[in-house]
Amino acid sequence: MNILRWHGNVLAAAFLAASAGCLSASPIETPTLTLIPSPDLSGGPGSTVGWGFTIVNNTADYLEFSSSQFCLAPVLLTPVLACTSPVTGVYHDIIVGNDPIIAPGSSLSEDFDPIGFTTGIGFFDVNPDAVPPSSDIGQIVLIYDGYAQDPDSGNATQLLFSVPLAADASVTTEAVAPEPATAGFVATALPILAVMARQARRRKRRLT
Amino acid sequence: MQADTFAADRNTRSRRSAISTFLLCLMAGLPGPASAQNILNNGGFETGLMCYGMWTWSVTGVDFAGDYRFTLSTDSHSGAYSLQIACIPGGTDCWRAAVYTEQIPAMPNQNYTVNAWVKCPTGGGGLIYVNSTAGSLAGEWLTCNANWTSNSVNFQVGPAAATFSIYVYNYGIQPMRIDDLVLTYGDGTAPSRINLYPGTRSVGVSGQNVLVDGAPYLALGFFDVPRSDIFLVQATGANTVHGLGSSSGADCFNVGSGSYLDAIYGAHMNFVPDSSAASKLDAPGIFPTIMQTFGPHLANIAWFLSDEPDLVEVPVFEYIPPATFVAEGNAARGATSLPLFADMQHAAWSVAADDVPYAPGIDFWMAEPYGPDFSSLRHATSLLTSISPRPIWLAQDLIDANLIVPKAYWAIVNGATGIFYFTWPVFKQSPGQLNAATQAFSELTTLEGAIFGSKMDALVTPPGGIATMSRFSRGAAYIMAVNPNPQAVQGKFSVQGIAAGQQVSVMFESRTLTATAGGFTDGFAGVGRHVYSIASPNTTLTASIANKTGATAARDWSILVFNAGIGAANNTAIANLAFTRTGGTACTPKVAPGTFPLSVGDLVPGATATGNVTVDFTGCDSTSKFTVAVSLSANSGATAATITSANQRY
Repeated sequence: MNILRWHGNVLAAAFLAASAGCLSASPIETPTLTLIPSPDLSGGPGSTVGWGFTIVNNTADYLEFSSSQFCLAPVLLTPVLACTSPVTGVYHDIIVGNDPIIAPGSSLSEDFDPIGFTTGIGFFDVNPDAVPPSSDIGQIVLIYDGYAQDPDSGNATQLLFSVPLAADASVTTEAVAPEPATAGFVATALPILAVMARQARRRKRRLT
Repeated sequence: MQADTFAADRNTRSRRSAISTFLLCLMAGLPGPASAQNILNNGGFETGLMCYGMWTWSVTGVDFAGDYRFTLSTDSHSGAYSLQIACIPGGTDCWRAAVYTEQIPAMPNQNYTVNAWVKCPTGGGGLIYVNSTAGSLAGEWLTCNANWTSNSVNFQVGPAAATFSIYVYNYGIQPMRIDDLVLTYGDGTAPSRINLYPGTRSVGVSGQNVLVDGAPYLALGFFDVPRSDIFLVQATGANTVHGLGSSSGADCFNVGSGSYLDAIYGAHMNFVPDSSAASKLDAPGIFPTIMQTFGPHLANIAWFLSDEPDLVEVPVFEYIPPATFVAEGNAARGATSLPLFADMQHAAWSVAADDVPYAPGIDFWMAEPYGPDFSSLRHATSLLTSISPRPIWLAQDLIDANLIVPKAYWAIVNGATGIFYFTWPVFKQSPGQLNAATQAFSELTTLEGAIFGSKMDALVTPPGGIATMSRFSRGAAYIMAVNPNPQAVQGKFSVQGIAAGQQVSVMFESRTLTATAGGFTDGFAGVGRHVYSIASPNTTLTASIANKTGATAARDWSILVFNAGIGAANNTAIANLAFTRTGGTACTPKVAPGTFPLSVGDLVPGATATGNVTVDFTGCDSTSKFTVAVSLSANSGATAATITSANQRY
């Protein structure tokens, strides 16, 4: 079920159409991808982090996404995407599963949903055994197709095939600060350890 | 297959060498067939200044300056032309000028006679002079009486002279014409011309490679190699001698013991004749004769049309107007199948517009980015490629020994396929530099197969500041890496598809690195080169849906398959195309039985191939959505991948 069907932001479309009319020479028609709130994420071992996104469709086509991946740099986008998988964790897609279709001249923006993982471009499970400070640096790469009409209209003509759209991204595994329960344990243990160390020093002095 | 070809070539050359050695030894013991001919093969200047050099002396003391000009005159004693040395009208700086033969191999204690026909006005002055490597031999003032006059000099070469040269000077501002310069032994005889290996090699240009006998050619050699040093040059690993210098035409002199070119060919090397001096005479019409006279020898693999024709700063000796140059090239092409090239001096430091007009005259480029500056080399190769992508050979000079090897690699990494050191006599006197050049030749010869292997540059990303050339050859991946800067560099070479634990051999250094997933790390202490080889690497296949056409009942899906790793993908096939419907109108796509596996052939690293699959989408419309799994296989199943694309419509 397409729970996030999105048929265009009318204001954005009007703005872009007006802008296009003002330009004497049309720029190269490629969509843009921005990761929000930041392309650079961090989390402790075993944590999950994710990206929201804004996609602006500057093209004359309806865009639909067929895959999303997090690939380590350098990323080879052509002639066919060659993706090296991250090493500190595993990436999971959200956007392709939601299957938004972005109309020409429109944009789509979603925050990452850290609870239900229902919105955003995707999320990253940091391996529990990832060693801080380590990082995976690369790109989120979407592959999209383009249609002359809304493909859900039943009679759409496909014009673009397997085109990459990428944005720089990184995940840094960071050290985790002790949680309150852990801090309580440490607070209890430290005095005991101190007493044990003092007793050990006394025994050593007696032996010498 | 390729190895067999190489072996066959080695066998051929070995036989050739044996025959050549036998003939040369036989002939060296004989005086050679004597005849009343001429030791000089261009005594009448019918091929211009082939086999000659020219020089002017300026009152300023500056080399190449002055107002003398060398031209061909149709006022000849015999044949079509004589050589004219004259001061330009109104010229004031005409101290003296000379034409001189290239170094003639001397026969110890032999008596010689040289005769020149000269025409110079009464009151003019000139000199015929013979100099040798053991000192001055003879000299006579020329007779100037406004008529063609014979002038003779007899001389004897001593026991120590290896070569000698004949000079004819004009000391006046009036034109002097010289023709029929004849050198014989004292008895008036001369050996016949000998060519043990007449014929024309199969040489051509394909893309940015010179093909010799059908194979890409990596030219490695020296300029200015005397006959006596041919085997010393061969011992460095050189395979080519450039004629610029003392051996321009190579077949200039009949000395009775096999020609210079015979010796070159017998030493398993090749030769590049040079017509630089002739090209400065503004006489394109002589080039067919030049090609016919000096071209047909199996040692010749290309023709050096001219040295620095773009050097407008030196008008007499170097600069040739582009129209003249192109006319010379066109005239030469009519008489030889050898590719033509020239050294564009401006390429190393100036702009493309300087050399663009010369491009039609030649088939490939040469440049001379001399010195320790690596940037001028890149400037030259980039500039020439921007004008016209062709093979590029480079002239390199004597620089610090520590820079010779990395700069040789820098040349290769930047696209050159030929390196010639300037000059052999200079390198011969510098053991450090000679050893470095020998090392460069040895290493690059070892890497020749890799240098001409399949390009996989897109699969390798070096650390910042490092330039690389990445190739796949005979089952192994090679990365030639150069740091052109004195600053140390430590970093990761990202290599698509390389597996963790893969061993990376550092050639010529006895080191081995272990890759992590996606690359390996190494360092450069400063200017230097590393060559990495990865034997039998695994590879990675990927694919995308590149197109969909045709009727619903027979849609043609184009699947673009890409070898994204650094290993071979042999017998690559699309093993399956599986459809899982995820939404829209219900239907079941069908692929005809027997479609799979669909072969797309052997894929070297970085290569692509397309497989077309016909799918019957009867009952579907564009609302029907599928997740499509493309299964790939290669290397008898050792390499496999499944690429999944969601939200696919018919």
